Amino acid sequence: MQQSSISALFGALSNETRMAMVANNLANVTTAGYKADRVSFQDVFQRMATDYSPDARNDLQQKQLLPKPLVVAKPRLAEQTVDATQGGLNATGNPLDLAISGPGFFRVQTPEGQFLTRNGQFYRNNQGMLVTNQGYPVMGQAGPVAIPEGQTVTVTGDGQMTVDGQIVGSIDVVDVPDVKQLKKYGQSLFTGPNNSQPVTQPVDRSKTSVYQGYLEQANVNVVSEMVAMIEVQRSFEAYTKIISSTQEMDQQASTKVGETR
Amino acid sequence: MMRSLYTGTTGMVAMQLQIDTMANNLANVNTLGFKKSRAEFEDLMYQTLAVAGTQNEGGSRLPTGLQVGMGVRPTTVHKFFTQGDFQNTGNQLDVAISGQGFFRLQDAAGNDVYTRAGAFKLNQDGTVVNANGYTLQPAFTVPQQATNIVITERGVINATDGQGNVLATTTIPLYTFINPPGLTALGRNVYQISEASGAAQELTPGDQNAGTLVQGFLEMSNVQMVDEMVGLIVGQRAYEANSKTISTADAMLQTAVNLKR
Repeated sequence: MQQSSISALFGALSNETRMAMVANNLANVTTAGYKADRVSFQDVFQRMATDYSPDARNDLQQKQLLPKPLVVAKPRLAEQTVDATQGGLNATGNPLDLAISGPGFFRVQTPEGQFLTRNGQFYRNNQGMLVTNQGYPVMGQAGPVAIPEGQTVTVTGDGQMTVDGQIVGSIDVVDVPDVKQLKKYGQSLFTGPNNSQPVTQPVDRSKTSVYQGYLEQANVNVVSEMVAMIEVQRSFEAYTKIISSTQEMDQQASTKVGETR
Repeated sequence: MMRSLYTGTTGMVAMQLQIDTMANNLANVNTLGFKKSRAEFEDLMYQTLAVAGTQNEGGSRLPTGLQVGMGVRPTTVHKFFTQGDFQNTGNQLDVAISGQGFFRLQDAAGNDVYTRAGAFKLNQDGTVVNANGYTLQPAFTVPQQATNIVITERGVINATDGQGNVLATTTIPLYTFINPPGLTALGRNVYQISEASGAAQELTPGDQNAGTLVQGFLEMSNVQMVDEMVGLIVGQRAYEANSKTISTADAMLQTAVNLKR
């Protein structure tokens, strides 16, 4: 088989994966606190077998016997990163909807350890604990936050929670040294590599504040996702065109060359 | 098959729920004491194609992994128990609650249900009931000679005759829940206690966070028409974007299938 069809196959497969990521971004366009996936490609250099031929020996009367060593690029997905840019804030008026403006994450206690989230759709459960959609407790600086029943819950910019003027706890907002190290777990949660507890550090208070009554929207840009989708589709088509052209060439070689006239 | 086909499907299904929820809010825009709902979403699980930290061909460790998300799923339809607007009716048996409490009613089968719709009526025995004939608890019967019913903001209900003599009196308590969104909506403007809502706490109107009663007023729904309209637009566009995902994935599949002639 010709090298070009293998190269094109790699390209088509990479684009299929990219398409899956675009699809996931678009599916989560209304998920609060969702962070878009970005993907980048790299070319992988494949050396031909002729590289290893002792060149000089094959030189008969200064003429090369074997073709020049070829370098064939195969595009491949190199890495996928989480786009950590801020999503827009949407006013909901619900006192238990919290949004983080700036870097940082809420800490959530799950049965598998402490994970991070930017989705601030919180509830008060039947024990009065502040929990996520899944019922996981939201961590404060001193363990899970309990909210006694009361008229008004107020959350200040630094996460301090008061009910009817009484301080009941402080919601912990933490930062991570490298957002790229975070892994998406699903359920709007981020974990460290291999579902480990993410490494956290105190958040820079001058950059981060908590907004009460707001939700952070997904930072998915529909227009750029649509453009990416066109790009994916067209390059997929181009790659398949390469495969079919190669196939044609192979066919011609096997039927025409050496044909008795 | 292509992941993105199914990812797009999850997005369309989620947006369907968003539109359904908004449609119900809009349908109940004039329902007394109706509380609006909001559909909430989270990202689905991720498929890990490359684990972060594995060694690459060059021997160095990959700084990030490769994860492909599988779409979105609805988590909850959250009811918002914010105060609705008041409407002045002048009717003596129309009572609005200004605050967080609920009235307790007893349905025909003798079960306790809770409501915020305070449009009460008298049945054939002179007992205070709601539009479905559920009795307000504690049951209060207005004597036939009574000409006037007075309900104070602290929940005292008096039936008086033309001379101002009190013929019957009782106090209507209000009930609060630690997690009102956990109540089960039964339709017909009434709610039932669930595991998530916590037990009903009986309070005298005006105490703690129960709220006070306002005679001659009704609580309208808390649906904001503009919010719902914007939500419909967002839902529709996200639905369209996800359908575009499916058609693009389909076009790519078609190109791939057409490779083999």
